[in-house]
Amino acid sequence: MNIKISRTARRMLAMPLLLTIAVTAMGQEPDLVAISDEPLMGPFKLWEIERITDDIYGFRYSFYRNIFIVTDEGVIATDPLSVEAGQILSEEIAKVTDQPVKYVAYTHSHWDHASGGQPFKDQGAQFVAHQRCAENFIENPNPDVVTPDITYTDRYEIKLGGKALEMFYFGPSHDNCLVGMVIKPDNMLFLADVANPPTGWMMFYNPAVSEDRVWNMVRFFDGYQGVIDEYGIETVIGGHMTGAFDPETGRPAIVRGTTGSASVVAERRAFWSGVIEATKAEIAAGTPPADVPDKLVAERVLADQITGYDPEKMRIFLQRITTYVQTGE
Amino acid sequence: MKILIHSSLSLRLAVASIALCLSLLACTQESGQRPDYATEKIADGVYTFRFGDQRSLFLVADQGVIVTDPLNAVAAAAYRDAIAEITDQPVKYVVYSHYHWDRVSGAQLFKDAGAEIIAQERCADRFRVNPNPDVAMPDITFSEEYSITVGDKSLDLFYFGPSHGDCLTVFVANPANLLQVVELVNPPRASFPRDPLGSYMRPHNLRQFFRDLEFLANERGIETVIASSAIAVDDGQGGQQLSAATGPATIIHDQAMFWEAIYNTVDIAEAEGNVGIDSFVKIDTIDLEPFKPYDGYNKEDLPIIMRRFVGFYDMGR
Repeated sequence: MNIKISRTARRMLAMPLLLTIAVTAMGQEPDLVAISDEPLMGPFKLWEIERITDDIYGFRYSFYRNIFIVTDEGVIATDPLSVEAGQILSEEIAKVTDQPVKYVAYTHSHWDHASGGQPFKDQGAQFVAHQRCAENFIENPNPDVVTPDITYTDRYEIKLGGKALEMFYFGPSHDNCLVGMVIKPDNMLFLADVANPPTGWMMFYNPAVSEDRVWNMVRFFDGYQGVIDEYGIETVIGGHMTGAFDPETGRPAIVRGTTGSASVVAERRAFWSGVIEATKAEIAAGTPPADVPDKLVAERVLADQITGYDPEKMRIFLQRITTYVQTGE
Repeated sequence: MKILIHSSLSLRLAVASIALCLSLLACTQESGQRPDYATEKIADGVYTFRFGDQRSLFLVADQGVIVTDPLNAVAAAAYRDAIAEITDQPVKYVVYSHYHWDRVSGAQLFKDAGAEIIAQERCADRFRVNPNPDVAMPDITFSEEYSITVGDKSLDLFYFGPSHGDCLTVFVANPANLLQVVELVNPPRASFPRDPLGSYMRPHNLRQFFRDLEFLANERGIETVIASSAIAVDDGQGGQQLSAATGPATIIHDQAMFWEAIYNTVDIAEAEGNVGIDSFVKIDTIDLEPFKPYDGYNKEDLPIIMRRFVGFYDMGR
C-alpha cells in the first residue's frame, strides 16, 4: 500500500524526543482497544483507539484526535486527519464493528484535520461540513480532502441508529467554518482546536494565533457556553493532545487530553476576553500600542492563571491582540 | 514626479516626529498631540493626505471630491480641512481600501456632509458581524470591479480575492493612471512586512492576488504607484526625510517576488525536514540572499513571517 505521508505527519514522525518537555500519561487510565507499535513521544505511541463510552471512540493519531460513534445502523465518523491516519482509522473501525461508516463530519476545513477521507467515501459515506468549509475547499483545493456532500449554515444534526451528532455554527473562530459537535444522547461536546481538556488556560501552541478570528472568539465561546448550559453538558472531548500542569513535577506536561470538564469552554473564553480587555485597557490608558506587549508581560498579567506561561510566547500573543484592538482583525 | 508639499509643520519637524514614533498610532500617544499632517499633490487632481505615517489618496474634480480611507476620526477632521484648502467642491464618495479600523474609521463626518461610502462587499460583511461605532457602514458595495466618476476624474476599484485581510481593494486613479494598493505595495521599495506575525495575510490567495495585480498594472500601462504609508529614509546628506508619496510600478513585481521567496523557502524547508515541531523554519537553513535586497531586511523576522506560511501549507488557509 502506497501511503502518502503528509507534511505535518512527516514532521511529527521525524522529531527527536523532546527531553525538555515532560510527557506524562497522568490522569485516568484510558480504555485503549487498539494501539500502534510505533513510538511518538514518551509513553505515547503513534496512534491509539480509545473507548470513551460503549459506543463512542476517540482515534488519536500523533497529536490529533477525532471521534467516531458506533451504532447498529452504521458509524458516524469525524475528521479523518490525514491520508495515513484515515487509512488506519478505516481499518480499525472495521475491527470494532461490521457496520459501514455512513457519515464523516468535518469540524473545520484545515487540511490537517480534513484530509484522508477517501476510504470512507469508497464505503459510501456522506461527508458533512459547514457551507464555508465547502467554499474553502473550492477556493483552495487539496486532492486529499474529500469535498462535502451535505452542507449547512447555522445548525445540522446527523441521526443514526439512536445516536445523533448535532453541530452549531457561531461564526468564525479557528478557521472561518469550525463547529463543535454534541453527541446525543450522551450529551458530550467534541471540540477541535479551540479548546481542549483538561484546561482552557493552556498557553497557545502558536501564540500568533494566525488562524484564530480574534474578533469573534469571545462570541464563539459564548455560543457554545449557551449550548452547554441548555443541554447540561458536563464533558468535552478534545481534538488534540495538549498540555496541563503536572502537580507532581510542578511543570507543564503533555497529556492525552481526551475528555474533561465542560468548564474548559468558560476557561478559554476567559483567557481570550482577559487578554483582549487587558490590552484595550492599556491602550485606553495611553500606553503606545507598540509598548503594550512588553508592559503587560512585565506586569505578569494573567501569568498565574496560564498553564505553560512563557513571557516570549505571551509577548507574541499580546502583539497579535494589540493588532486586533487597533484594526479589528 | 514633482511633489508639492503643504505642511502644517516644517518638513524637518515632521520627519523628526515620524522618526521618533514609527509604530502605528504611537505618534498620538507619545506626544499627546495630534500627529502632523500634510497634503501632497501627485498629479492634476490627485493628492495624498498624510496623517502621521499613513497616507490616503483623494481625487479632486471640478464637480466633487473622491476620498479614500479616512484613517481615524481625528485624521478625518484634518483631512476635511485639508481638502477645503484646495477646493470648495463637496466630498461625493469615501472609498474604503479594506476593513481594518486604523484605516477606515472616521468617515461619519463625510457621510454627514452628503458623501456616500463605497466598499467591497466582504468589508461590509465584516462590519456587520464585527461593528465598530467609529466605522461608518458602506452605502454601496461591489463584488469584483467598480468605477466611480466625478467630473473628469475617476477611481477604478478592483477586487482580486483575499490578500491583506479578506476585502483589500486595488485603486486606479484616472486619467492620471496611478495605482495604489494600501498596505501591500508601498514605495519607496518592496519591503519586509511591518508586522511579521502576518495574521491577516491570506497565503491561500496571495500569489493569485499579485498575479492579477501585475496583469492589471501591465494592461493599464501603470508606471507609478502611490504609497499608503510614510517612513523615514536617508536624505543623502546625512539626515533623514520622509519617503516619497509615489514610486515606480516595478515595486509591484518586486513585492510579489518577496512573497514568492517566502513560499518557496517554506516549501523547501518542509520538504527537507527543516521545519521544527514548533512549526518554525530553522533559521540557519534559510537562504538569506533572496531577502537581502528588501527594505526592512531583518533575518530574525524571517522565521516569524514564514510561520504563517507553514500554517498555510499544513492547513490550507
